[in-house]
Amino acid sequence: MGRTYLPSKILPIMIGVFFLIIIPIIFPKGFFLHLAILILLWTMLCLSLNIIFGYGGQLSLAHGGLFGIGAYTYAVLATKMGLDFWAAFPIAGVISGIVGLLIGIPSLRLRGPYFVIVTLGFNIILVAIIENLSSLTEGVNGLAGIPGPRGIPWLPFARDFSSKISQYYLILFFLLGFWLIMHFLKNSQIGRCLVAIKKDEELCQSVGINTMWVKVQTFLLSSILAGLSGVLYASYIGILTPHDASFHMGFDALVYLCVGGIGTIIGTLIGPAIMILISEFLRPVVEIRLFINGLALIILIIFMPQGITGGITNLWKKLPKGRKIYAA
Amino acid sequence: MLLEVRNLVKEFGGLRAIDNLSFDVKEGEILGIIGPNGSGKTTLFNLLTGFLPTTSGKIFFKENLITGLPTHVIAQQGIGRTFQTTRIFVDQTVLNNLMIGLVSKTKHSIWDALMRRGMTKREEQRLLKRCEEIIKFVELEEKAYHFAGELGQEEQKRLAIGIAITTEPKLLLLDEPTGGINIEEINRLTDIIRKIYNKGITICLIEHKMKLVMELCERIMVLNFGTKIAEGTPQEVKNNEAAIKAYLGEEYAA
Amino acid sequence: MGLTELLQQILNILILGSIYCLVASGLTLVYGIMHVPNFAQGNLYMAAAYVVFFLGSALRINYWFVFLATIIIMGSVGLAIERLCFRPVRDAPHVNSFVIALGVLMAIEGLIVIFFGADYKEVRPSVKKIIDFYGVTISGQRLLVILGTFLVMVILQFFIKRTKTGMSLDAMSQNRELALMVGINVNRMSLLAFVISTGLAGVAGALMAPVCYVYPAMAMTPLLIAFAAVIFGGMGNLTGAVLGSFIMAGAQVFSTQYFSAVISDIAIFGIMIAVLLFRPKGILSGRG
Repeated sequence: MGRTYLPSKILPIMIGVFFLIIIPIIFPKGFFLHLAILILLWTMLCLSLNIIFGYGGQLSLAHGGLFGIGAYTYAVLATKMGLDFWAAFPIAGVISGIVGLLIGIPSLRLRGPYFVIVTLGFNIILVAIIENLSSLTEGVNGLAGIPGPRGIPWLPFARDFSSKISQYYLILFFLLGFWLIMHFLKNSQIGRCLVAIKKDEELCQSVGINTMWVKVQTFLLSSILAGLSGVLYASYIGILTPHDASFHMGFDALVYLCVGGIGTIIGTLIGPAIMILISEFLRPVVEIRLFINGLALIILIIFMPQGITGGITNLWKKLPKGRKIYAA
Repeated sequence: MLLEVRNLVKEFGGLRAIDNLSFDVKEGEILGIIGPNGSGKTTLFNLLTGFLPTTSGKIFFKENLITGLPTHVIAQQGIGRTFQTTRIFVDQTVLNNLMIGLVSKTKHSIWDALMRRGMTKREEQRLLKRCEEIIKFVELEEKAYHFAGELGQEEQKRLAIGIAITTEPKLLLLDEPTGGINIEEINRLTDIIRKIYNKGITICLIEHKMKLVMELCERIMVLNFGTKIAEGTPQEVKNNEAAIKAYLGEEYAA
Repeated sequence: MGLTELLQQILNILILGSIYCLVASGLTLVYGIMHVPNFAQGNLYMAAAYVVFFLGSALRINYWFVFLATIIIMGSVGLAIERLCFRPVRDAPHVNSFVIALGVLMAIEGLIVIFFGADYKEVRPSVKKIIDFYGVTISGQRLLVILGTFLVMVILQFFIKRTKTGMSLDAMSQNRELALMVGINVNRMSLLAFVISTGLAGVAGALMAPVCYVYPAMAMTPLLIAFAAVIFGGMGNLTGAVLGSFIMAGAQVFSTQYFSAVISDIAIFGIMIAVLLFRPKGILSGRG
């Protein structure tokens, strides 16, 4: 894997982050801010999927369910047991991790299509469980009245999270953290392993790499992040239904990821941003979101499997810039 | 005895690929394994390295039982191998290929990644130094930053051997390392194999090129239909009737 | 449980099993030839049901014509999908085909939602006859599901075992390399397998539409049960898919009866996961 030095990469990143930070200032009006928050939340879910699919090469269809488990865990802890956000957040993360292990350990032994099918099956089981623990989750009726994050009185800027703007910044804060995690992962020894395992798992085993362990850890991280995204979603929206844990969420995340570019960090934002804005644009027409998503997926995979980020990168490479890209 | 194989059997459905095979490999020696196509040579390597589960029998490495252990554990114990089809990471640089081989000796968990261990300057330097040693050893210095896919066939084979020795194995299993290359390239590879032997690494070599095997190996084992039909020095094997019969019509001039 | 109840349950198993059988046969055929798990198969069955609804209820065309038309329409749709969606990614990494299949799944559901909306539709049964049998009542339409499936499976079996094209298909799913060496045309076989599988989905939709509610999400769980059946019997193994379908239907009916629908879901996927872990080539193979 190594490090690809594009010296100009730092600047665009800083510009991008700056832009994200000033969005609520440019668009303080409720609806667009709400859209921006949704985009950030979807970015987090795409990010979690990206870790196991983009880096690990394993297509998991269970991530909708993992997202939902995180969301419902927080919701139940907050509404039924009166725990506050800051206590429930890590607990939900741990529980998502445990569920992730329960799913990942048996599933990761399986090759290609079997892994995909099994994770889909697990998602269905998760939704079935959520629907049936109705004493906790209110089942199909959905759970309402989920509180948002409590303010932290002794921390400046974090004293009160009741406004939409403050929730935006809270979610952005966590998203930046998740991106940092992805960056660390990409440029680490285990990141190197993942790339190699994708290409030739047996060769990796022959040089002493415990590929199963690597994949399990990756799935674990991916599950925890999916669950934590769910927590933030639940605390923002305030209402949950079992649909929020369905495989449709996972499908949508997959579409967004393919649009943005599988395996890239920026793609996790570009994908949701584009697709959510498009579907908002088209909303008054007719309920064609599902069709657009499916069509986009087909067209992208055939013509631009690297997504928009890949398309731009390819364009960049073709430009006569004389910039040396070397791997060390 | 570095490697002891006792009554090894491997069955695929009704077919016995390895049939009650027993043999030893002494530390520091270079053992040639020959036999007609389909005699079970690669299957034997797959069994020794844990790629395939055994049907029955025991394998001891450094006096420890390794039958049934997963491949990566056996590799960590000290057995390295190359494959009949040259397996390398084609879209990585030569240097990176070797870095991957070294991963198992570094801190490579997710926690390490998050704590930024394992990629410190010092660690990188250490790994790079080791890679440079290996690159020099397999004579690929000028190609260190080239992508492995761009290398010539023989260079790729040298890279594959390089990858196999990153883990500092005590026993190296080479599966037809000189398949499909010309005389000059064969000599180059043979020199490298000799270098490995001189470093004290034990080698098991599957080969079809008789001349090469006779020159390089101290001892030779002949397999046919998954069982040992002859064993001994090159001289002994050359004159062994059973071995000659098995090879009737299959003699390769190297 | 009395005889009547038992017979009723058996009937349910036969009906559900028939539909799973048709869907699963399509799945296993496509997987055997193209090595793609066609996630869209379920929604093709669903789309066929909507075709029946449209032609039968909206346009009021005779059921038997509709039946035939549906099969032809679904076959053509299959042709289009294989050529436009799957053929271009034949040589790309396998996972690309999986994602394409998901894309087709979503696109079909999306299209149906656009044209028909998400509410439940009903197709009036055409076969009005009702049969009484040891105290069990079964409508002719429901019986048709079982008989129709049986007939189609017999025809399919005949095609595969007795015709030249069918035998090529069978050969290819058993041993791809050998088939290629003998000169069997991969493109033609893939197309054929896909068209047959969408045709089977068409039959399933046509049989089931007058029997159950028609709505966009109707096929998801049946799809997964069909996958479980295919895995149980071994991917690519037609007999296994048929066997697996009825076993899964049995598991479903009895778990729902004695426990609940949730337990039934868990039971079926539990079986599937267990098979994948211990006998990945399916129950009918030797060792996994």
